[in-house]
Amino acid sequence: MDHSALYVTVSLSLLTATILTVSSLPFAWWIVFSGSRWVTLGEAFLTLTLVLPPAVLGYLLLVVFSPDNPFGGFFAKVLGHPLPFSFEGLLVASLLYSLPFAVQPVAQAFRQIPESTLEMARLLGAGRLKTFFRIVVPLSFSGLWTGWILGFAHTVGEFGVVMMVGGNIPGSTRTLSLKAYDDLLSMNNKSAWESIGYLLLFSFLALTALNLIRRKETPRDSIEVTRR
Amino acid sequence: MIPSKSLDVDLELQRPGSPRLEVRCSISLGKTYLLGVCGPSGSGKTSFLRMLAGLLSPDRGSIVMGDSVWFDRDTGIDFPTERRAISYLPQNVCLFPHMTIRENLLFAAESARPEKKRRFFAFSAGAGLYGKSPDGYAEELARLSTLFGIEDLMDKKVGKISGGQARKVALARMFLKPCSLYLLDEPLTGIDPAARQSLTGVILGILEQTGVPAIWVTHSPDEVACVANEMAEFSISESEDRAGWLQRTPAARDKFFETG
Repeated sequence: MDHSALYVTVSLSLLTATILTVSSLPFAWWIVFSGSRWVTLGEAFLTLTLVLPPAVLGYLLLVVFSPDNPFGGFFAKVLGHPLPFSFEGLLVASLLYSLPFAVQPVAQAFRQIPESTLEMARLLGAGRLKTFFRIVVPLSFSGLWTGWILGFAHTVGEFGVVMMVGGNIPGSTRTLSLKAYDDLLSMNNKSAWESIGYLLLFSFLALTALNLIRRKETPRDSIEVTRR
Repeated sequence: MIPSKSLDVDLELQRPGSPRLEVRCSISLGKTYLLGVCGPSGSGKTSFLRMLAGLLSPDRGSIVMGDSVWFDRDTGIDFPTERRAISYLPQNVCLFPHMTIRENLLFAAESARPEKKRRFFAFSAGAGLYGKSPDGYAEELARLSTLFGIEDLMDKKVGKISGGQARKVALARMFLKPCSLYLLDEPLTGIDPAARQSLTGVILGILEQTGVPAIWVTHSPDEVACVANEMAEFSISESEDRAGWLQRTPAARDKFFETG
């Protein structure tokens, strides 16, 4: 049984989710705490791929990834091969496609930290870095996990973007969703159901994990101490 | 005579919907000094503390702490809160909910570290590394936790202690941070009346021992009046649309305390 599609999907989703969660830290910090006037623009850019039709995003990316384009050309030189129809191209596309899903929960978690808590950290002599890593990040763990899970699940379910940018090459850019599509078209139902089975499994795991996080979050008594 | 270092404050703040706040005073540093502050709600007591702490910026004026200027509107100086040598206990206690009591206290003690080391520890996310008190804070921690009667709470999470206990922890935390000025905003709120006197005694004992001046805001002046060096009565003048406190001139004050 050929598991290459499973391997591509899982590695793509794990990489995307992890890279996004790590980069969400400075991005969400900038949106919530910097007070810069560019924040509104930044948030608009962040949520862009939320509303953009995947096929449109896929097309735009192909244009930018083309070796004639400065961005695409740079990567082609660094990687030794052009971005379109490669795993690296899929990775960049997935990072953009799942960006809002990973960053928004983190920004939301940052926003929920009471101003008084941040003030207290400063009153105790903590500079911005110390406050961020010792207070803000630990208090936002549930937001970070939610962002990771959503980034993972969203990438697993990608279709339009990977179809256009990846080229559906078995072994390198053929994801589970594309394989399922191919199998359905060629009436290979047994194989299709296997892929669908994996996709359903991932969705189920993601939802369960999200629910567990939500369950753990509800006893917010600890936060109430600050209101005394 | 060597002029003693002092904290000189001259502030004006326009608060939306409230009378303009004006505060002018001078406090000698380097010796035990307790300034009791009382006054009606809205007279600017908490705003005064917040301006000293750097959480609020006055519209005009200056705050000069000894040799360093913390704030001066004219020259544009505004030291950020984290660089001011104050220790402030606000009305709402604000313990860090993801840490145990011990970790909360250590967080305050860490500000005693020299700058370079502090950078490194900024990256050590999470509390795991501070299970054991580094750099001899253990002694100080033990002393203060015994004084405030919170030794049993040290490994408890913040959510598991009562309001009164939280306030005692906050007091201990305040005294763990090395500073040149203590700011207490109604520190005995939520403490049962029986414990108030003994706690006042503990606080005064620490102030006496460290020799650091303190400003104590209270709604019950009797609590503080008998032990304070000076009482500041904040007032609101509706007719003049002004609130705040203007201290007697230093000369008159020194004379007052000579005979007092």
